[in-house]
Amino acid sequence: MRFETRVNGAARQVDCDPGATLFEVLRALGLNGVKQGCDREGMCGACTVLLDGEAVLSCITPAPRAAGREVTTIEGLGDPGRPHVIQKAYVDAGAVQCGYCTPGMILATKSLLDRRPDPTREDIADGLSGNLCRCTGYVKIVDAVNAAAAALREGSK
Amino acid sequence: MITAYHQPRALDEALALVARGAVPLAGATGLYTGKPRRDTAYVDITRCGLGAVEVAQDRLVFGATATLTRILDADLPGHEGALVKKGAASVSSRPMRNAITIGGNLTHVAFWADMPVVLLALDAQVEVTRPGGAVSVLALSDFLSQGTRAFDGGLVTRVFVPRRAGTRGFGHERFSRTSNDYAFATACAALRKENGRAFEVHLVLGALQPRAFRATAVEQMLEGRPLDDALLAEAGRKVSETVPVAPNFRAPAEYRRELAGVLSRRALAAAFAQAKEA
Repeated sequence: MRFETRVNGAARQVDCDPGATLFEVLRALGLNGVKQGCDREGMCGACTVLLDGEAVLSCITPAPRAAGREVTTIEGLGDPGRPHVIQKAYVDAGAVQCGYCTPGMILATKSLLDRRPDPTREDIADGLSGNLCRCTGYVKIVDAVNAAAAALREGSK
Repeated sequence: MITAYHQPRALDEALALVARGAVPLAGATGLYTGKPRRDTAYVDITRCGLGAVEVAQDRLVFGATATLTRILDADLPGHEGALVKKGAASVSSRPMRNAITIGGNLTHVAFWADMPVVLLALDAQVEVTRPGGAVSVLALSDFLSQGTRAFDGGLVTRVFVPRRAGTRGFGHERFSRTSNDYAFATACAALRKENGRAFEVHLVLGALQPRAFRATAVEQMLEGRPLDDALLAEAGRKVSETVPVAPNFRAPAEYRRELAGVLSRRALAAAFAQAKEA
């Protein structure tokens, strides 16, 4: 089936199997920042992307659901030369080890901070409740979210 | 194999597709797990305008495709609103709650489903619309007992939660290994208090059987009596001794049966403490 969507700000025409997941379509587009960690159960969050700004698990999201909507992957946030504030905060806080969970973590953080610019610890726990990290523990990740929130608030003044 | 994925913009169109054999889906969180269906066309009903959450004078009204996140973000009054939110918050993780809908949590008929537990305690009703526009409203208890027959050929379109005078109290206790995990057992109690005694006692148990159910024998035991510590302990014991527990790989039946008694006692105590005298 065919449908039109927007991915990282660019219009894209997608031609896929009607049963394809959003994850499969994004990987086919070369967006390899989206990862698969669990077995399409929605338990690990490595496949998290934003659909109209809301965090979704792309490995269990039917691809056609993106029709007419805006998809944001980690590639749409920034790159090593021009990292997004949240990406920089994760690096600076030492919140990245193997990096496999990091794109999902950062996109979940983006969704959280867009709706709660000054999150409590409970807000952060809830916002990242769908994302597992097996390397770092979560202390540095929470530090990164707080640092990113402060930087974004400062930048918006 | 998924042969077609329809995304109608109107309920009539969705119902026509269901009449032609398309399988309805909303949150779709279970679509890719388990054994795939053979050659199935799906109709995604999330663009049919069924996602509203409204507060009417006598009831809370949830569109079937209202996500749990939307419910949590809504301004829902009273103990009913608080309990619905507590149930919604107990479900999995934020991105899952962004997808899971109230209607899907009822129709998916999964033993671990959390919303039926709180909605049974609140005497919720389910609206089913069939092709041609025929609408029926079922008590959730009847809806659950009928299984998929309750909505075959149609769609769940709304869920109603009656608003009562603010004299009822509620308690909700859920135990799982992690906050994201399915529950080992859940207990939800609702009751009214008058002259220090409990009336209209509802005790709902979840994650023990294929569907949430009311522990009617325990409810009857407590009806019209003051819920003191001794009676609460007796109620917990009765749950543990009598409740049917289906096999489950997460924990032994003996453990979950004991757990159900403890959670029931706590939920009943919380409900009795919260209820205001009539």
